[in-house]
Amino acid sequence: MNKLNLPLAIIIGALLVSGAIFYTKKGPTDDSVNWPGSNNNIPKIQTPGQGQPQPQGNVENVLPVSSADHIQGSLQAKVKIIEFSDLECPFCKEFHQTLKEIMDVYEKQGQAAWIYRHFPIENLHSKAPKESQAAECASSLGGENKFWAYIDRLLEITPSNNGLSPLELPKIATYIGINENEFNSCLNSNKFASKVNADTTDAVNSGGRGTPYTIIIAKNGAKTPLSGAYPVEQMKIIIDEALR
Amino acid sequence: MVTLSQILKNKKFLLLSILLFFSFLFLIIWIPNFPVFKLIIFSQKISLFEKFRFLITSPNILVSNSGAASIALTILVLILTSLNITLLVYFIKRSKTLPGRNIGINVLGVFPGLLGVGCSSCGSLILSLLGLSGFAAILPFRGIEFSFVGIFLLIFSIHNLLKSIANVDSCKIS
Repeated sequence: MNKLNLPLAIIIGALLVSGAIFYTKKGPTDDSVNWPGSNNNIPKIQTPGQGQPQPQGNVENVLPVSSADHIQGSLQAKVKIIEFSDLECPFCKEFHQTLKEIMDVYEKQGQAAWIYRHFPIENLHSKAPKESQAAECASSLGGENKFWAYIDRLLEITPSNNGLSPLELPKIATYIGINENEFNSCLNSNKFASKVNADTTDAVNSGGRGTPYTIIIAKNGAKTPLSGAYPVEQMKIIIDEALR
Repeated sequence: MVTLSQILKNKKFLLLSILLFFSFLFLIIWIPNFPVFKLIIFSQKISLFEKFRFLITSPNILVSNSGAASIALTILVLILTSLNITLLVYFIKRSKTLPGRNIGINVLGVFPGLLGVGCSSCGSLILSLLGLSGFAAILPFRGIEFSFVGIFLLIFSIHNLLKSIANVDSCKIS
Protein backbone atom coordinates (compact mmCIF):
# COMPACT_ATOMS: atom_id res chain seq x y z
CA MET A 1 0.00 0.00 0.00
CA ASN A 2 2.89 2.41 0.83
CA LYS A 3 4.31 1.99 -2.68
CA LEU A 4 1.02 3.15 -4.17
CA ASN A 5 0.74 6.31 -2.08
CA LEU A 6 2.88 8.56 -4.28
CA PRO A 7 1.40 7.53 -7.64
CA LEU A 8 -2.04 7.80 -6.07
CA ALA A 9 -1.32 11.35 -4.89
CA ILE A 10 -0.15 12.34 -8.37
CA ILE A 11 -3.22 10.78 -9.99
CA ILE A 12 -5.55 12.58 -7.58
CA GLY A 13 -3.82 15.87 -8.29
CA ALA A 14 -3.99 15.33 -12.04
CA LEU A 15 -7.68 14.40 -11.79
CA LEU A 16 -8.40 17.58 -9.83
CA VAL A 17 -6.71 19.80 -12.40
CA SER A 18 -8.11 18.03 -15.47
CA GLY A 19 -11.58 17.93 -13.91
CA ALA A 20 -11.36 21.66 -13.35
CA ILE A 21 -10.32 22.26 -16.96
CA PHE A 22 -13.17 20.05 -18.22
CA TYR A 23 -15.64 21.83 -15.95
CA THR A 24 -14.71 25.28 -17.21
CA LYS A 25 -14.69 24.26 -20.86
CA LYS A 26 -17.85 22.16 -21.02
CA GLY A 27 -20.76 24.61 -21.05
CA PRO A 28 -21.61 28.14 -22.07
CA THR A 29 -19.80 30.67 -19.99
CA ASP A 30 -21.06 33.92 -18.64
CA ASP A 31 -19.67 35.72 -21.70
CA SER A 32 -22.99 36.30 -23.42
CA VAL A 33 -24.24 39.30 -21.52
CA ASN A 34 -27.51 40.89 -22.54
CA TRP A 35 -28.45 44.45 -21.80
CA PRO A 36 -31.31 46.49 -23.19
CA GLY A 37 -31.06 47.24 -26.89
CA SER A 38 -27.55 45.90 -27.37
CA ASN A 39 -26.41 43.88 -30.35
CA ASN A 40 -23.83 42.05 -28.21
CA ASN A 41 -21.27 42.63 -30.90
CA ILE A 42 -18.48 43.59 -28.61
CA PRO A 43 -14.90 43.40 -29.82
CA LYS A 44 -12.89 40.98 -27.69
CA ILE A 45 -10.30 42.68 -25.57
CA GLN A 46 -7.10 40.68 -25.42
CA THR A 47 -5.85 40.21 -21.88
CA PRO A 48 -3.26 37.80 -20.52
CA GLY A 49 -4.72 34.34 -20.15
CA GLN A 50 -6.77 34.12 -23.30
CA GLY A 51 -4.37 31.72 -24.94
CA GLN A 52 -2.06 34.57 -25.91
CA PRO A 53 1.67 34.47 -25.22
CA GLN A 54 2.58 36.38 -22.09
CA PRO A 55 3.99 39.78 -23.03
CA GLN A 56 7.21 40.98 -21.47
CA GLY A 57 5.80 44.13 -19.83
CA ASN A 58 8.04 46.84 -18.57
CA VAL A 59 6.95 49.74 -16.40
CA GLU A 60 8.91 52.13 -18.62
CA ASN A 61 6.48 51.33 -21.46
CA VAL A 62 3.56 53.01 -19.72
CA LEU A 63 1.99 55.72 -21.84
CA PRO A 64 2.71 59.23 -20.55
CA VAL A 65 0.02 60.97 -18.55
CA SER A 66 -1.83 63.57 -20.59
CA SER A 67 -4.92 65.72 -20.52
CA ALA A 68 -6.74 62.91 -22.36
CA ASP A 69 -6.51 60.81 -19.18
CA HIS A 70 -9.06 60.69 -16.37
CA ILE A 71 -7.27 62.62 -13.65
CA GLN A 72 -8.09 63.65 -10.12
CA GLY A 73 -5.67 66.35 -9.14
CA SER A 74 -3.33 68.42 -11.25
CA LEU A 75 -1.51 67.22 -14.37
CA GLN A 76 1.49 69.04 -12.90
CA ALA A 77 1.34 67.15 -9.59
CA LYS A 78 4.72 66.08 -8.20
CA VAL A 79 3.67 62.42 -7.92
CA LYS A 80 1.36 60.65 -10.32
CA ILE A 81 -0.53 57.51 -9.37
CA ILE A 82 -1.64 55.61 -12.47
CA GLU A 83 -4.19 52.99 -11.47
CA PHE A 84 -5.19 50.22 -13.89
CA SER A 85 -8.46 48.85 -12.61
CA ASP A 86 -11.13 46.24 -13.29
CA LEU A 87 -14.56 47.38 -12.09
CA GLU A 88 -15.57 43.84 -11.10
CA CYS A 89 -12.40 43.10 -9.15
CA PRO A 90 -13.11 43.11 -5.40
CA PHE A 91 -9.61 44.33 -4.61
CA CYS A 92 -9.95 47.22 -7.02
CA LYS A 93 -13.13 48.14 -5.18
CA GLU A 94 -11.20 48.23 -1.92
CA PHE A 95 -8.21 50.02 -3.44
CA HIS A 96 -10.53 52.66 -4.90
CA GLN A 97 -11.43 53.69 -1.34
CA THR A 98 -7.75 53.64 -0.36
CA LEU A 99 -6.88 56.00 -3.19
CA LYS A 100 -9.74 58.31 -2.28
CA GLU A 101 -8.28 58.55 1.24
CA ILE A 102 -4.81 59.11 -0.23
CA MET A 103 -6.09 61.89 -2.46
CA ASP A 104 -7.80 63.56 0.51
CA VAL A 105 -4.34 63.90 2.03
CA TYR A 106 -2.10 64.47 -1.00
CA GLU A 107 -4.20 66.27 -3.59
CA LYS A 108 -3.87 69.64 -1.89
CA GLN A 109 -0.79 71.64 -2.89
CA GLY A 110 -0.48 69.53 -6.02
CA GLN A 111 1.38 66.75 -4.26
CA ALA A 112 -0.32 63.87 -6.05
CA ALA A 113 -2.61 63.13 -8.95
CA TRP A 114 -4.65 59.98 -9.50
CA ILE A 115 -4.96 58.76 -13.06
CA TYR A 116 -7.53 56.05 -13.80
CA ARG A 117 -7.05 53.66 -16.72
CA HIS A 118 -9.10 50.60 -17.58
CA PHE A 119 -7.80 47.08 -17.21
CA PRO A 120 -10.83 44.79 -17.33
CA ILE A 121 -9.70 41.18 -17.13
CA GLU A 122 -12.32 39.67 -19.38
CA ASN A 123 -11.52 36.02 -18.79
CA LEU A 124 -12.14 36.57 -15.06
CA HIS A 125 -14.92 39.17 -15.22
CA SER A 126 -16.75 39.05 -18.54
CA LYS A 127 -18.95 42.04 -17.65
CA ALA A 128 -16.05 44.32 -16.77
CA PRO A 129 -15.17 45.56 -20.30
CA LYS A 130 -18.73 46.78 -20.83
CA GLU A 131 -18.71 48.49 -17.44
CA SER A 132 -15.51 50.28 -18.43
CA GLN A 133 -17.22 51.45 -21.61
CA ALA A 134 -20.19 52.60 -19.54
CA ALA A 135 -17.88 54.80 -17.45
CA GLU A 136 -16.47 56.30 -20.65
CA CYS A 137 -19.99 57.03 -21.86
CA ALA A 138 -20.69 58.84 -18.59
CA SER A 139 -17.58 60.91 -19.19
CA SER A 140 -18.44 61.79 -22.77
CA LEU A 141 -22.03 62.77 -21.88
CA GLY A 142 -21.45 64.52 -18.58
CA GLY A 143 -17.79 65.48 -18.35
CA GLU A 144 -14.90 64.36 -16.20
CA ASN A 145 -16.78 64.70 -12.91
CA LYS A 146 -19.44 62.31 -14.16
CA PHE A 147 -16.75 59.74 -15.01
CA TRP A 148 -15.56 59.68 -11.42
CA ALA A 149 -19.12 59.77 -10.10
CA TYR A 150 -19.99 56.81 -12.32
CA ILE A 151 -17.13 54.60 -11.17
CA ASP A 152 -17.68 55.65 -7.54
CA ARG A 153 -21.31 54.58 -7.74
CA LEU A 154 -20.59 51.40 -9.69
CA LEU A 155 -17.93 50.29 -7.22
CA GLU A 156 -20.26 51.15 -4.37
CA ILE A 157 -23.08 48.90 -5.55
CA THR A 158 -21.33 46.08 -7.33
CA PRO A 159 -20.98 42.84 -5.36
CA SER A 160 -17.83 42.29 -7.50
CA ASN A 161 -16.68 39.06 -9.17
CA ASN A 162 -18.98 39.63 -12.14
CA GLY A 163 -21.98 40.06 -9.86
CA LEU A 164 -23.37 43.38 -11.14
CA SER A 165 -26.36 43.05 -13.44
CA PRO A 166 -25.93 44.89 -16.78
CA LEU A 167 -29.39 46.35 -16.15
CA GLU A 168 -27.80 48.47 -13.43
CA LEU A 169 -25.53 50.32 -15.84
CA PRO A 170 -28.16 52.76 -17.16
CA LYS A 171 -29.58 53.09 -13.63
CA ILE A 172 -26.21 54.30 -12.40
CA ALA A 173 -26.17 56.82 -15.23
CA THR A 174 -29.57 58.13 -14.17
CA TYR A 175 -28.48 58.18 -10.55
CA ILE A 176 -25.62 60.55 -11.33
CA GLY A 177 -27.77 62.75 -13.57
CA ILE A 178 -27.14 61.49 -17.11
CA ASN A 179 -29.92 61.01 -19.65
CA GLU A 180 -30.70 57.30 -19.83
CA ASN A 181 -31.55 57.20 -23.54
CA GLU A 182 -28.37 59.00 -24.52
CA PHE A 183 -26.39 56.72 -22.25
CA ASN A 184 -27.91 53.54 -23.71
CA SER A 185 -27.31 54.80 -27.21
CA CYS A 186 -23.64 55.43 -26.38
CA LEU A 187 -23.20 52.08 -24.66
CA ASN A 188 -24.83 50.10 -27.45
CA SER A 189 -22.65 51.75 -30.05
CA ASN A 190 -19.49 50.28 -28.43
CA LYS A 191 -17.70 53.48 -29.44
CA PHE A 192 -15.40 53.29 -26.41
CA ALA A 193 -14.40 49.65 -26.84
CA SER A 194 -11.18 50.67 -28.58
CA LYS A 195 -10.28 53.14 -25.81
CA VAL A 196 -10.78 50.46 -23.14
CA ASN A 197 -8.77 48.09 -25.30
CA ALA A 198 -5.97 50.65 -25.62
CA ASP A 199 -5.83 51.11 -21.83
CA THR A 200 -5.70 47.35 -21.36
CA THR A 201 -2.84 47.06 -23.84
CA ASP A 202 -1.05 49.84 -21.97
CA ALA A 203 -1.45 47.92 -18.69
CA VAL A 204 -0.11 44.72 -20.19
CA ASN A 205 2.78 46.48 -21.95
CA SER A 206 3.77 48.16 -18.70
CA GLY A 207 3.87 44.90 -16.77
CA GLY A 208 0.35 44.50 -15.42
CA ARG A 209 -0.52 40.88 -14.60
CA GLY A 210 -3.57 41.44 -12.43
CA THR A 211 -5.65 44.14 -10.87
CA PRO A 212 -5.36 46.58 -9.37
CA TYR A 213 -2.07 47.45 -11.02
CA THR A 214 -0.60 50.80 -10.10
CA ILE A 215 2.39 52.74 -11.32
CA ILE A 216 3.78 55.46 -9.11
CA ILE A 217 5.64 58.13 -11.04
CA ALA A 218 7.84 59.91 -8.52
CA LYS A 219 8.87 63.55 -8.48
CA ASN A 220 12.14 62.62 -10.20
CA GLY A 221 10.33 60.65 -12.93
CA ALA A 222 11.21 57.21 -11.56
CA LYS A 223 8.45 54.68 -12.08
CA THR A 224 7.59 52.01 -9.52
CA PRO A 225 4.97 49.32 -10.19
CA LEU A 226 2.64 48.08 -7.46
CA SER A 227 0.77 44.82 -7.92
CA GLY A 228 -2.41 44.49 -5.92
CA ALA A 229 -4.23 46.59 -3.38
CA TYR A 230 -2.04 48.26 -0.77
CA PRO A 231 -3.36 49.45 2.59
CA VAL A 232 -3.50 53.19 3.25
CA GLU A 233 -0.51 53.26 5.62
CA GLN A 234 1.75 51.50 3.14
CA MET A 235 0.62 53.79 0.33
CA LYS A 236 1.45 56.85 2.42
CA ILE A 237 5.00 55.60 2.99
CA ILE A 238 5.41 54.92 -0.74
CA ILE A 239 4.04 58.31 -1.76
CA ASP A 240 6.10 60.14 0.84
CA GLU A 241 9.19 58.47 -0.60
CA ALA A 242 8.10 59.37 -4.15
CA LEU A 243 7.71 63.01 -3.07
CA ARG A 244 11.27 63.27 -1.73
CA MET B 1 6.34 6.97 16.33
CA VAL B 2 7.93 10.33 17.06
CA THR B 3 5.36 13.09 17.16
CA LEU B 4 5.60 16.58 15.82
CA SER B 5 5.07 18.08 19.27
CA GLN B 6 8.04 16.13 20.62
CA ILE B 7 10.26 17.57 17.94
CA LEU B 8 8.93 21.10 18.39
CA LYS B 9 9.56 20.90 22.14
CA ASN B 10 13.16 21.46 21.13
CA LYS B 11 13.36 25.25 21.05
CA LYS B 12 15.83 25.27 18.16
CA PHE B 13 13.41 23.47 15.87
CA LEU B 14 10.47 25.50 17.06
CA LEU B 15 12.38 28.68 16.29
CA LEU B 16 13.38 27.28 12.89
CA SER B 17 9.72 26.59 12.08
CA ILE B 18 8.69 30.08 13.09
CA LEU B 19 11.54 31.69 11.15
CA LEU B 20 10.72 29.63 8.06
CA PHE B 21 7.04 30.59 8.32
CA PHE B 22 7.76 34.31 8.43
CA SER B 23 10.46 34.06 5.76
CA PHE B 24 8.07 32.40 3.33
CA LEU B 25 5.31 34.82 4.30
CA PHE B 26 7.44 37.85 3.50
CA LEU B 27 8.76 36.21 0.34
CA ILE B 28 5.29 35.63 -1.08
CA ILE B 29 4.33 39.21 -0.24
CA TRP B 30 7.46 40.85 -1.56
CA ILE B 31 8.47 38.82 -4.60
CA PRO B 32 5.68 40.22 -6.81
CA ASN B 33 6.33 43.70 -5.47
CA PHE B 34 10.09 43.70 -5.41
CA PRO B 35 10.41 47.18 -7.00
CA VAL B 36 8.41 48.68 -4.11
CA PHE B 37 10.39 46.69 -1.57
CA LYS B 38 13.61 47.99 -3.12
CA LEU B 39 12.29 51.57 -3.22
CA ILE B 40 11.51 51.63 0.48
CA ILE B 41 14.21 49.42 2.00
CA PHE B 42 17.11 50.91 0.04
CA SER B 43 15.95 54.50 0.35
CA GLN B 44 18.52 56.82 1.89
CA LYS B 45 15.78 59.17 3.04
CA ILE B 46 13.43 56.90 4.94
CA SER B 47 14.26 56.29 8.59
CA LEU B 48 15.06 52.82 9.86
CA PHE B 49 11.94 52.95 12.00
CA GLU B 50 9.73 53.67 8.99
CA LYS B 51 11.38 50.90 7.01
CA PHE B 52 10.79 48.50 9.89
CA ARG B 53 7.17 49.66 10.20
CA PHE B 54 6.67 49.15 6.47
CA LEU B 55 8.02 45.59 6.67
CA ILE B 56 6.08 44.64 9.79
CA THR B 57 2.79 45.90 8.39
CA SER B 58 3.33 44.32 4.97
CA PRO B 59 1.17 41.24 5.73
CA ASN B 60 -1.70 43.72 5.40
CA ILE B 61 -0.97 43.64 1.66
CA LEU B 62 -1.88 39.95 1.66
CA VAL B 63 -5.09 40.77 3.54
CA SER B 64 -5.93 43.52 1.02
CA ASN B 65 -5.51 41.15 -1.88
CA SER B 66 -7.11 37.95 -0.68
CA GLY B 67 -10.43 36.71 0.55
CA ALA B 68 -10.73 34.92 3.89
CA ALA B 69 -10.55 31.45 2.35
CA SER B 70 -7.46 32.34 0.36
CA ILE B 71 -5.73 33.79 3.43
CA ALA B 72 -6.57 30.68 5.47
CA LEU B 73 -5.20 28.40 2.74
CA THR B 74 -2.07 30.51 2.45
CA ILE B 75 -1.42 30.36 6.21
CA LEU B 76 -2.02 26.61 6.21
CA VAL B 77 0.36 26.05 3.29
CA LEU B 78 3.02 28.18 4.95
CA ILE B 79 2.67 26.35 8.29
CA LEU B 80 2.88 22.94 6.62
CA THR B 81 5.81 24.04 4.44
CA SER B 82 7.71 25.31 7.49
CA LEU B 83 7.01 22.11 9.42
CA ASN B 84 8.01 19.99 6.43
CA ILE B 85 11.37 21.71 6.10
CA THR B 86 11.95 21.65 9.87
CA LEU B 87 11.33 17.91 9.96
CA LEU B 88 13.66 17.42 7.02
CA VAL B 89 16.40 19.32 8.85
CA TYR B 90 15.73 17.27 12.01
CA PHE B 91 15.98 14.05 10.07
CA ILE B 92 19.21 15.05 8.36
CA LYS B 93 20.72 16.13 11.69
CA ARG B 94 19.83 12.87 13.39
CA SER B 95 20.57 10.41 10.65
CA LYS B 96 23.39 12.30 8.93
CA THR B 97 21.77 11.22 5.63
CA LEU B 98 18.93 12.29 3.38
CA PRO B 99 15.60 10.43 3.70
CA GLY B 100 16.31 8.33 0.62
CA ARG B 101 13.66 8.04 -2.04
CA ASN B 102 11.15 10.01 0.03
CA ILE B 103 13.20 13.20 -0.40
CA GLY B 104 11.30 13.73 -3.65
CA ILE B 105 7.96 13.86 -1.86
CA ASN B 106 9.36 16.09 0.88
CA VAL B 107 10.55 18.67 -1.62
CA LEU B 108 7.73 18.11 -4.13
CA GLY B 109 5.05 18.91 -1.57
CA VAL B 110 6.31 22.46 -1.11
CA PHE B 111 5.81 23.60 -4.67
CA PRO B 112 2.15 22.84 -5.46
CA GLY B 113 1.23 24.51 -2.20
CA LEU B 114 3.13 27.66 -3.05
CA LEU B 115 1.70 27.60 -6.59
CA GLY B 116 -1.73 27.99 -5.12
CA VAL B 117 -0.85 31.03 -3.07
CA GLY B 118 -2.12 34.21 -4.54
CA CYS B 119 -4.94 36.66 -4.60
CA SER B 120 -8.40 35.32 -5.21
CA SER B 121 -9.00 37.83 -7.94
CA CYS B 122 -5.82 37.86 -9.91
CA GLY B 123 -4.84 34.24 -9.46
CA SER B 124 -1.74 32.41 -8.51
CA LEU B 125 1.20 34.56 -7.61
CA ILE B 126 3.94 32.14 -8.58
CA LEU B 127 2.23 31.21 -11.83
CA SER B 128 1.93 34.85 -12.80
CA LEU B 129 5.63 35.36 -12.10
CA LEU B 130 6.35 32.42 -14.41
CA GLY B 131 4.17 34.01 -17.06
CA LEU B 132 1.58 31.30 -16.67
CA SER B 133 -1.27 33.28 -15.14
CA GLY B 134 -3.33 32.35 -18.17
CA PHE B 135 -3.17 28.74 -17.10
CA ALA B 136 -4.44 29.61 -13.63
CA ALA B 137 -7.20 31.73 -15.12
CA ILE B 138 -8.82 28.72 -16.82
CA LEU B 139 -9.15 26.89 -13.52
CA PRO B 140 -12.38 27.55 -11.62
CA PHE B 141 -10.52 28.72 -8.51
CA ARG B 142 -7.74 30.57 -10.40
CA GLY B 143 -4.92 28.31 -9.24
CA ILE B 144 -6.05 27.84 -5.65
CA GLU B 145 -6.55 24.18 -6.62
CA PHE B 146 -2.80 23.85 -6.33
CA SER B 147 -3.04 24.79 -2.66
CA PHE B 148 -5.23 21.77 -2.02
CA VAL B 149 -2.84 19.48 -3.89
CA GLY B 150 0.07 21.03 -2.01
CA ILE B 151 -1.62 20.61 1.37
CA PHE B 152 -2.27 16.96 0.60
CA LEU B 153 1.33 16.40 -0.47
CA LEU B 154 2.72 18.30 2.51
CA ILE B 155 0.67 16.31 5.02
CA PHE B 156 1.75 13.12 3.27
CA SER B 157 5.37 14.28 3.37
CA ILE B 158 5.21 15.21 7.07
CA HIS B 159 3.71 11.81 7.85
CA ASN B 160 6.50 10.07 5.91
CA LEU B 161 9.20 12.13 7.54
CA LEU B 162 7.90 11.33 11.02
CA LYS B 163 7.98 7.63 10.18
CA SER B 164 11.50 7.94 8.77
CA ILE B 165 12.64 9.81 11.89
CA ALA B 166 11.26 7.03 14.09
CA ASN B 167 13.27 4.43 12.13
CA VAL B 168 16.50 6.36 11.95
CA ASP B 169 18.17 4.52 14.80
CA SER B 170 17.04 1.06 13.83
CA CYS B 171 17.35 -1.35 11.00
CA LYS B 172 14.17 -3.08 9.97
CA ILE B 173 14.03 -6.84 10.02
CA SER B 174 13.19 -7.92 6.49
